[in-house]
Amino acid sequence: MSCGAFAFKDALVAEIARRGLQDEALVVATGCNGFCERGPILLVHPDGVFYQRLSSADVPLLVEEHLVKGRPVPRLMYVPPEGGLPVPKMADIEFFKHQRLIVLRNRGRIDPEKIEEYIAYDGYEGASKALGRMTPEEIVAEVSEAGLRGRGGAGFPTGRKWDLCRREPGSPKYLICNGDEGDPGAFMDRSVLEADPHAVLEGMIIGAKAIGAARGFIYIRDEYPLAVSRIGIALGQAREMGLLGRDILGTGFDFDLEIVRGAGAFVSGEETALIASIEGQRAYPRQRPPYPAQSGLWGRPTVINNVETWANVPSIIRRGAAWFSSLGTETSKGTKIFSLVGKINNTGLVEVPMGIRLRDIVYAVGGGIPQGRDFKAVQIGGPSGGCIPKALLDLPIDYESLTQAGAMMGSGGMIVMDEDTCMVDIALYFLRFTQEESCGKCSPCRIGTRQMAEILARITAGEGSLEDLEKLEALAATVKRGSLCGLGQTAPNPVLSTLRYFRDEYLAHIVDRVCPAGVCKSLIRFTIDPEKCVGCLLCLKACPVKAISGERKKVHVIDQDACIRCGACLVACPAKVRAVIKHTGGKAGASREGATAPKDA
Amino acid sequence: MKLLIDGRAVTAEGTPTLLEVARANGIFVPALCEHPALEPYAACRLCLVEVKGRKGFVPACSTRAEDGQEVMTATAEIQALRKGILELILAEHPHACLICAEKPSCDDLKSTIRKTGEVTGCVLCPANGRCELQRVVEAMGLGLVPFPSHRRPGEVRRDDPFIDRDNSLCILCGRCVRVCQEIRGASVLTFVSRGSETVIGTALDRRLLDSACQFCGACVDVCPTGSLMDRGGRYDRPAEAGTKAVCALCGQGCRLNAGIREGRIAGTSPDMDGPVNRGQACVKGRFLVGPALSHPRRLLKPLVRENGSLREAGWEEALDLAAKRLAAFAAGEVAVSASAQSSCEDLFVLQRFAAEVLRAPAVAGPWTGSAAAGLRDLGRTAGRALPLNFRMTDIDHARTIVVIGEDLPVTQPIVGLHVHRAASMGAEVIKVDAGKRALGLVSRLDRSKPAVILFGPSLVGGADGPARLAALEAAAAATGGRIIALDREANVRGGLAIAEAFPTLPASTGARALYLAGPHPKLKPGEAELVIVQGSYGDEISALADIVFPEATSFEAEGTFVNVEGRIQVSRPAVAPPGEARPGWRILQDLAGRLGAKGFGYGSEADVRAALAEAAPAFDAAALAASNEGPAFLAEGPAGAAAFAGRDAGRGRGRARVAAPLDPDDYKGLSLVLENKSLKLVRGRRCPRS
Repeated sequence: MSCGAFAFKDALVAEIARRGLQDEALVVATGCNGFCERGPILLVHPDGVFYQRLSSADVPLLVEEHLVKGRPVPRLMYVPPEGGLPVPKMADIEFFKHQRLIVLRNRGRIDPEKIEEYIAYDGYEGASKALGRMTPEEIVAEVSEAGLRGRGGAGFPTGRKWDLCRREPGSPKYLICNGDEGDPGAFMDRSVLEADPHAVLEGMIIGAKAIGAARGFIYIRDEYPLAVSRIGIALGQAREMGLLGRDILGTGFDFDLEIVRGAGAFVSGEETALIASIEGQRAYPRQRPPYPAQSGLWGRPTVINNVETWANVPSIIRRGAAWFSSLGTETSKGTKIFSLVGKINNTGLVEVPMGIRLRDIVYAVGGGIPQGRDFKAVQIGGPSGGCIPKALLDLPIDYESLTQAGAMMGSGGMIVMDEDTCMVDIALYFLRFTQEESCGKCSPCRIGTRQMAEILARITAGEGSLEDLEKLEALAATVKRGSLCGLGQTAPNPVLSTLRYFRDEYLAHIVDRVCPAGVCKSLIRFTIDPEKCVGCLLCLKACPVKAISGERKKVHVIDQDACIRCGACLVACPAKVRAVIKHTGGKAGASREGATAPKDA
Repeated sequence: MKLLIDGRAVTAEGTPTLLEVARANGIFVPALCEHPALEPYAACRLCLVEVKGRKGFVPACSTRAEDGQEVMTATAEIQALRKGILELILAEHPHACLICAEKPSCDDLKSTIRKTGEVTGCVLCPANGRCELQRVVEAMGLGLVPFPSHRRPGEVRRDDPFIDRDNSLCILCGRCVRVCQEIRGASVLTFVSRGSETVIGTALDRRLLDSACQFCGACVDVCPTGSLMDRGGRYDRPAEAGTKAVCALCGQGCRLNAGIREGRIAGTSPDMDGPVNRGQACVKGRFLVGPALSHPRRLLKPLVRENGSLREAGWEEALDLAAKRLAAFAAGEVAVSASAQSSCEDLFVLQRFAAEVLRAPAVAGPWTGSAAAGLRDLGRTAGRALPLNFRMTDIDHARTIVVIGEDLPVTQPIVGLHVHRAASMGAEVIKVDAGKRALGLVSRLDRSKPAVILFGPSLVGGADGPARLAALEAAAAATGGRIIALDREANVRGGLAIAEAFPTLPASTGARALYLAGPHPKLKPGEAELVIVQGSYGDEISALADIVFPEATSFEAEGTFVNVEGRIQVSRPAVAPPGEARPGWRILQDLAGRLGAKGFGYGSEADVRAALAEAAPAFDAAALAASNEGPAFLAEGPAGAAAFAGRDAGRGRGRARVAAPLDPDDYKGLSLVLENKSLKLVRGRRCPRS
């Protein structure tokens, strides 16, 4: 969408009409394909040919060559980063080859605003089976045996949660879909809600039968208007077909869903805060126990699950627990969607079996680090998670192994970092996020995250001391153990994890007053090498604060006091010249040459 | 159940929290956001403890004790965690004095330094000495806060009467928000913004005056620090002593803690154990007792008229003069008025005085036109027992509540809290004026949802009052509902019950003299040959009197009051009467003696009560004696009704007309709403009135 896909589609439709091919070639706008890096993307069926990075200008050639003459166009196909021949078929592209699509199975092949297309691909079969031929106990047993664990972050066994709620004597019971997706860098729930909304609806219908609920809520963060719209359309279509509402499919089972739009805060993704939000209250978390399964929405037994968790359910019921549990590891079954972002060639959404090695995600699926930089770490789990360093690249991705390594599965956000990323800066970034999003109810999180963020800010400004590290660790313990909810309890994780694996980097900032990655503005400076400078005025013009002085063909000089360390000069200086140098280490303290321009691609 | 706390075996019953069990066994667990009247909140995190078998730490305030639990409250890990949390709380609360080593000697030197606007330490804080944060820091022994301090944002809010708000002292315990929402039902205070920026505020940051605030002071009472403060007492030193008194400013019968300093009431706050109010009060009981008692219009010395104007006199002179002049009138020539805000002792002796000494036809009292009297009379004319007694807790379980013509937060604040509790449990509350609509509404109530119908004096006023009430009662009975009479003054029920013990004498031709111990319509000069006023506040009537006796208020004398429920409560004096004021019954006692009457020689209030119990069967002697230990109510029922069968319904109407003060803010002639600027602001708002 943001890369001009709609414009491309319109151009394609127009050209097909102009060539009189509208009865032979159908253009379907599907949801997110996952390979975000390469959009707009076109898949030609039945050939399975994959085109990427298209623009409206490519339309005439594509229609002429592929649709009319049957000759696929290599120029518009995917070429791997390391070079070589174009890869025509999607199934052969590394990015897709290693993925196993369960939640994203309808990716790229249905129009999310047409329920018929969802149904055509075995849609609502699971619901039909659950409602018509299974008892609540059987449904719960199937989900339990499958080993599905909550995909929102904590990984609690879904079947057990459903069973606890099913057994609760209270009524009425409620179902909630947590579509608040607040982690920065996570957008898998968005993709499911927008591209395959019926998967969520079907999962919830099955869940409703399992626990005995007649009413459910889909809580979608207000920043996802398209998701709200698509779910709304899906609900309408499902009701029209008798798949929601009274006496679903003639089985006598009543269930309906409504959308609740989010209140605009990260904390409303916490389950008890989300429940408070639906109740119309301020999104403050509540002490657990009691857990929502016993006392949730309006004090009634409530099952609340993440979007991805719900979307797994129809496949489990349709294909069976044995099939699902054949994927993954001993303790973590099935697949997980990760949003691969950051310093990675193939940014996008990937659904891979649990147990896949991190190395394979980064290099095989992800295509490695751009511009030949060195891998440094992967942040997994967003602001609640931690980083996995190079030494642990062979770690199999599952709930337990990630927790042991000091990270967390979380929502599945995977931010890849290279040698140009400062880990202290990353910790500060996440802590600032948590601090700003802290609801403020409990003292340890509200005040503790602020104190931690201030210490980190001082460290990145080159004003830290070794005592600060002790304080940071003590604070982390207080916040972790004292906080009321998951936000506070996991807020120190990025700090603890970076301290564990990158302590040297902290010490460099504190003792040497140096930022090895060359990021922290107070600890870097830019200079112009007088022997290389050709006096071209390019950096002078690029500088936003006019800190560079010089004349044509005369050596330019950067005024260090005026410089704001934005790096525009480094980018402006021509590749042949490379006169601008970034150093780390201030005037006082060791000066170490940091990275200069990127290595040749 | 049995459990182990810190290795010690303890027992517990019911469903207490771990915090309650710990406290009951003398184990210290700090807690700042917890409050016994409120639902557990688990936000301050100071009360975290360890329970064997449970991962991590659990808040003791919200965790139920279970049989067989093993609880640790003070391991090294918990202590370190607690200390860490307290340090964080103090990083955002002025703590210079809290952790200062010079504290003990400093207090002696800096005694009134609270007049600075900004609080930077305890010595400058209005809550110094009563602050719960101080107590926690002291108990935990903190000497250092290892973090940079942040001053929470905002100026001190001093734009409201009664309550000041200082955000720099707020620790975001949330108690004020919770008490206002859960118990008062006003929901005036809430959390605004998020995270570190969170402040306690009103919607749209309005003044409390521009919100639905009732100024009851509950938020001030639950605030553990000095953030929410009683504006009037801000610069005062703490009280030297305290007593409990039953408030007589309205008919609820709240019990208050009165702080005493230098023989005067320094301030009042609600008694957590008050049987009626349970720690809640209203704007009058909370903030206006002191101002009422020390109002400039207080009568302090007996006054006698000489040469056309009033001058001060001694008691002997004034009493002698009064006796001499009263002796000149025959039976039926003196009209007596009484106040429904006087104690039972005062009223009983006044009734006796009027009947036996003055031989007045009857004593005119505001109970005559009261809601309670209306209901009682209806019962008699209809020939069935219509109970007047009720418990406020009965309202909690009503499924429907109809409020007729009463603005509950103003006239019946505690009843209003019970209505709110019922509403929060799903009851339907309907407010309607005391007109025809009320009748129609009650007739249409749903039988399956038992209703409680609350009405006040406005329903029974006027010539068609009785008929209106009868119709309403019939309609209520038909739908299974119950009607409850609510009057405004402190002792309407008491006055009514006492009046029943005195027969009405035949009416006489006209009153030539007036003995006014209660409200009276406007007096014309020369209307009576003799006017004696017995009261607490000077007004236009006392200005025209011949003799004025200064009377003690209920807070300055021992007195029994019967509240709207029929509950009998004895209030002990909080302070001595100012000037030469005396309890009403003692004045009458002395007067009676000078007029040669016998049997007025009571030694104490207890003696008066004993006599009252004998004379009025509604006052059971044993109940009166025990009335501050357990609940004692006026006796009702067939026996009571039969005892008065035959007495005509026209009793209680005397020649002295009653100017019924329906103004709920009037206390013995002092109009608090007109004469207290702060209350005037509060009452003067355009709030929707029912």
